Amino acid sequence: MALPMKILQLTTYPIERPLHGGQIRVAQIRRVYEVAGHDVAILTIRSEESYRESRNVDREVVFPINSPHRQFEGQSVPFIDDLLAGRFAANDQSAFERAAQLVDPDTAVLHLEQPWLYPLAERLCREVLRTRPKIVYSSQNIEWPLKQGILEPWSISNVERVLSAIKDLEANCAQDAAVTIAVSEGDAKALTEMGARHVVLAPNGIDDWEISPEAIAGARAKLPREPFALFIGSAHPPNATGFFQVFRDSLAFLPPDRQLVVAGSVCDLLAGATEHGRWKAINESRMRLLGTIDREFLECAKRLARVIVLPITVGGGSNLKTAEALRSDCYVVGTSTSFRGFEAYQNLPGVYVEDDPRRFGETVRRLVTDDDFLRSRPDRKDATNGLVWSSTLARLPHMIAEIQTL
Amino acid sequence: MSAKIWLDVTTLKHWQRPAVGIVRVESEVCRLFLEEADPSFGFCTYDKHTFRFEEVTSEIVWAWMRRIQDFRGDGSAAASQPQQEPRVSRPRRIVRRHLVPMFVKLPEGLRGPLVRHLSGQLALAERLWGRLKGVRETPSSDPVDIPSLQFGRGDVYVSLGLDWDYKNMHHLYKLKRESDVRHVLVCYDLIPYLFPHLCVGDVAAIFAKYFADLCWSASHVMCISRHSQEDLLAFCREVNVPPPNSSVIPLGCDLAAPREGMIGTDVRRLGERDFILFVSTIERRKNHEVLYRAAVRILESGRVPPHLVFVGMVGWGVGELISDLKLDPRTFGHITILHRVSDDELAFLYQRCSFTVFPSLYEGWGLPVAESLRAGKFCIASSTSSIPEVGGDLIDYCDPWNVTEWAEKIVLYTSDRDRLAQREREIREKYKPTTWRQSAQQVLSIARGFLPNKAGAARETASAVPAQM
Repeated sequence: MALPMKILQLTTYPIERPLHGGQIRVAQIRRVYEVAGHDVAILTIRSEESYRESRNVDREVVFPINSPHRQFEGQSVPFIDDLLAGRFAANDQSAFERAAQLVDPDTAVLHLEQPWLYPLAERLCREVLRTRPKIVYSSQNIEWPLKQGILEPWSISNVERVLSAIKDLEANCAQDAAVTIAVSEGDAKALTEMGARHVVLAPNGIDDWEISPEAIAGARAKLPREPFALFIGSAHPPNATGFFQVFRDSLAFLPPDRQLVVAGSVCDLLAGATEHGRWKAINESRMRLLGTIDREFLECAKRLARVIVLPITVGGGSNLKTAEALRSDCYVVGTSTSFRGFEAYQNLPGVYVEDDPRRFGETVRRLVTDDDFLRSRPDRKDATNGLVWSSTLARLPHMIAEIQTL
Repeated sequence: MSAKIWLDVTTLKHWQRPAVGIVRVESEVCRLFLEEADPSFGFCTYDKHTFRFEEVTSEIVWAWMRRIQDFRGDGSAAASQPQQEPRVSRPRRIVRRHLVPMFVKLPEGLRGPLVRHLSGQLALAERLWGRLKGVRETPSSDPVDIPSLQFGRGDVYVSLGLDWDYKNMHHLYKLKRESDVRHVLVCYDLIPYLFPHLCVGDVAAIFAKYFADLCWSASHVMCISRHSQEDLLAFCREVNVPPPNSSVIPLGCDLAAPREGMIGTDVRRLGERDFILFVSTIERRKNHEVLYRAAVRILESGRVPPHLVFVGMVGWGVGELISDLKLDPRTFGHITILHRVSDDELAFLYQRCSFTVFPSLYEGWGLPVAESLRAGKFCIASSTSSIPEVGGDLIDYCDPWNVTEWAEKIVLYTSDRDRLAQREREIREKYKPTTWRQSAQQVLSIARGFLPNKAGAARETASAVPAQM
């Protein structure tokens, strides 16, 4: 066993009550480090308006909504608060001083979750930490193309400069890190091309969740009685983009008595986008928006659904949603993008990859209406053991044990 | 027990005015069913609030048909009004008496949303009233005591009426899915979806759902023109609904000869002069505006326009036009509006007119064009949508937006009597009208196609019937 080390995880969100994929991933990595005997602290740079209900009160620096650092080169640019949070934490003197107070100067490993807080990490190394720590860059995506997809529809004048800044940031992280963690083979290759020296593959994983019969019974009363499809997503804009690209705005491919149930904060985006227009009545009758729900209800919904859909058309990295869907005993219908990082699982029973929107809808329809599919559920349990976090992060303890030699 | 064909007569039950096209279709198919007196035929109504079907006797159906047929030109139903006429609920009576007079004074933009809102509230009030009544009245008069109709294995359910008002398509779909009942439904047009701005309020979303659910619920959809069928199939492609099995049934166009004593004074007087006839509800889509403008154009050119007679209820979106017609001194005495015209009077007007016009912006079929040709009368009609399917090369067409073209054609056929007579000769020689009986027989043929065959297995599809002009 390696000697215990002080590890500091830098994040832009708290993980006390992990809901979205990024939070879950950070929490799982922390658990792996702790199980390996290390002393782990987390420092969060949180946007003032976000995660108000689950703050990392003791170790957070708030990025005020009216901070001058909310602007990118003098301009307001949406959806880059994460990029700006790193600049704020490093360049706002009081913010940096607050961060410095929260950091143990004997930290040996700086685990950088996503590239955003690299400027802070760099200044901490220079000015606060006694010995230069090893940096672990934990990539969740190749971020710049993802941001490009988010920003392009907004016709932002200096988008190229924003993307260039993100590209530089990712490259700096990759080049400066002793170890870079990638979530997929594709990302690992891209990170190597950026200059990463030691890349460890640690895909996103899942944990199995026990559900009581009482919880199932309670959830059943709130969910459709007829076989239904389930879409789970956060308010991350690409989730809504993918939804509309795949379902082409109308859910009429489902018969009148079948529904698509949507769980997660993506409901806010979908509700706003579907409350007007020609498909409003069709979609209202065929879609049930649950909003943000607790983990137990979510697990019940997955247990009761017949199909989990993965209408993901943009973004890199790999999706926890995909791993969770594969681990379930539901049929899974996704795009090839949604299976990025899980290519080896595409041919498992009950898994359908459809990139054509019409065929995507038709496949979902068949799975919730055809008796042949309704009679049984696919069994992928043994084949997906490799998807649980203990398997996907299995290499991290070795990595951290050897990091001092790198 | 052998399977039956059930014809839904919910629209006939509720209709309280002279027949419009859809009511006529339901009536004429009823007539054939009644005349055939086949024990495998039955009639039913549907209550979308209770999801109940009820069987209706032939006598009641006859009475409802007579009630509609005998609406007189003065707006009062004839003496043969049946005892079984549906009663108007007390909440509805209150609304009619107290709210409607205030309502018509509101600006049009407010009326649409208010109608939708109040309709929902009224339906709720009626249901509550019905429950209260149920407590007070004897059980035998409580509708809940009427046994609900249970369809038998292999039965065929035919509905041709105003299903978007009277049916719950979700329920019909479940019925189709969970029982061995085949649904033969109809698509008149997709206008509320394609041109919602030409309808009352924002109906596009409601009708998009209706048409999607119709496609899911129907074993077979009868379309009233090739154009409507194409519109329906295009809709299916657009929203990714599996296209239903469908066919085209041409509508009948025969009107019984007008009966003596059934023609009102105003109509009789009109028949003593030359006039051009336009039969249609007066609403934006029907484009009465272009005829008014054409009349003005003719007047401004120093000619006297022919007398225009608009036959139809005043509907939505024509407030300004009606105001113009009332106030414009140039067209005083040149345009007459007749509403609540009976079948006898309509047949009389077709007989007596010089020719007909039909400038509609979009149609699912174009029944007035067919009726005009059936009466041997030439027609000038819009060149849009399904109308050329009806008129073929026997009528003249105009761009519905081109006022000059309409004015010139009207002047041409008003002033050149020989040309008009020639066109009428062509119509007499070439036009092969579809009778309502033929239409009804086609509906029946399609429905029979879904009855279980001798081996006891229901057929999956009915043969498509080609459209005929």
